Amino acid sequence: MIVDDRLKPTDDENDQNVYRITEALKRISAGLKRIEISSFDEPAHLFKPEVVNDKE
Amino acid sequence: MTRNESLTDQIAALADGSQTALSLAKRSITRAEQNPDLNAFVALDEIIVLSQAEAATQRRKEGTTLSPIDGVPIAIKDNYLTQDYPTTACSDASPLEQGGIDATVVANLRAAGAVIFAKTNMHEWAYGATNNTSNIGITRNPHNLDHITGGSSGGSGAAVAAGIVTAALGSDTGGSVRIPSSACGIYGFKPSYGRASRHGVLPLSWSLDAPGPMTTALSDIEYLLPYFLGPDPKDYSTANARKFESTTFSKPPKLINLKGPGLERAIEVDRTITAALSKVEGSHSEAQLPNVASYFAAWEAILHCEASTYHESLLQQCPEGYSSVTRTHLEAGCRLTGVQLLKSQILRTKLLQVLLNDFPDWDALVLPTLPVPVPLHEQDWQEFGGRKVTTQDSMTWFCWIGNLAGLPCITLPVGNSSTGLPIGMMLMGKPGRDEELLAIARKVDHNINGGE
Repeated sequence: MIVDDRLKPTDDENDQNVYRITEALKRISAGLKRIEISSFDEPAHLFKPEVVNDKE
Repeated sequence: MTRNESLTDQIAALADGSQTALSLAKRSITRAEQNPDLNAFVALDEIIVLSQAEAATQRRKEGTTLSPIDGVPIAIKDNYLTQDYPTTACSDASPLEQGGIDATVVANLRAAGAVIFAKTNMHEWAYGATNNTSNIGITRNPHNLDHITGGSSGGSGAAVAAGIVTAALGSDTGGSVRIPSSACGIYGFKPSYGRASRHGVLPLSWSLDAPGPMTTALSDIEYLLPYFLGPDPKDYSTANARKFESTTFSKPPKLINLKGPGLERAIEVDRTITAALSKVEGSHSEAQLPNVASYFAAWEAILHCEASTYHESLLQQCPEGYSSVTRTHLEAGCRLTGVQLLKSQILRTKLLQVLLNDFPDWDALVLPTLPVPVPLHEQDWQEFGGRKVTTQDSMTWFCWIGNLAGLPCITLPVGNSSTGLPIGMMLMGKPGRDEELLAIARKVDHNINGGE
């Protein structure tokens, strides 16, 4: 699970950290798959809230 | 705890001569010395503080006062660059940007005569919401030292709640102003994305970060927001930012209480929020935000990717300088894909469209700031509403919505839990309408807390 051996957590913290990173990645992957995105949706290239129309 | 003196009170005391900048500074130093167990400060230099206070006192004597806040001590989170103090983000991985310049917000406050009082303890690199990971140790809650302050601006929250200072600066990527403000029973404001300069605030996640004030009273926020809002040539995101313009909100506000799957909260918290809302004049309705887990995943992916990008070089140079849990978070960002990041950016736009266009008309969205009463230091897990989540995840449970959508947000203290710890209520406004949200918050605070 570790990207670079130099960054390996200390032994006593390793299990907890591997759990954390695994859970975070699983959660993100599942969350992003769960919602349907249409072909008309575009990413916010430079996030600017004011470009999204307010119905008022 | 009884109500502390506010920044508004201090402004009045300076104006009528019952206090001087020097007397306020000395009192703040004494109170800091009386509260070492809070561990609220990473740097506090009496000489630096008193020299600023003496200059402010002299200006008032000469009639050359710079602003109403001239001479008021304000504490600064340790991820804002400051001329006179080093900036460490409470990490041993040196940010290599110590001293020399002020962050724009700090420079604005200094130009107005505020006394830059101290640097406050924070969750390492702002990458966490408990304040239990810091190279100078944990921060303790002034209401009960056995409980966390929340974070990542936990030192600022503790310093204000303990009455050491009446206002402090925080930064907010997923609730880091609002979480400790709620846990410590004070007021905290996160501006809209693009209205407040992030220049000189060490980033966690550029597109989610916002600097914000944490204060004793709601009226204090109105005094401080002018120093946050407006264009700054050093921060491109503020190119179209309007300066602060105080406004009123004359009609009864339309409030939507957000609920549903993914937005669960402990029964005790829900009861407190419901009781507080029942006192608020205006129309109330409930709405469910769909696909919460997907939007949360988008926030988390953007956060990790941007943080890992910012830290890429320093992490390679100085991996031992980071705590293992922070390194773990940074590794997560390295493992996400470009497709996941772009999908997250699509969801960011969709979330804002849902909030603005799919809901019935609203003036403010309402949520508890935290889903649980303030946890104890040793509590790693929280159980509520059929969920079991880490204490870390419980802290950002609701707050991330405001960051992903770029909304202005405010937290108000509205009650106490059975353990005597504060419970906060969050209001979220429409993007760019920070002043309107503040005006609505004034009405809501008046109805609930009887202030102003």
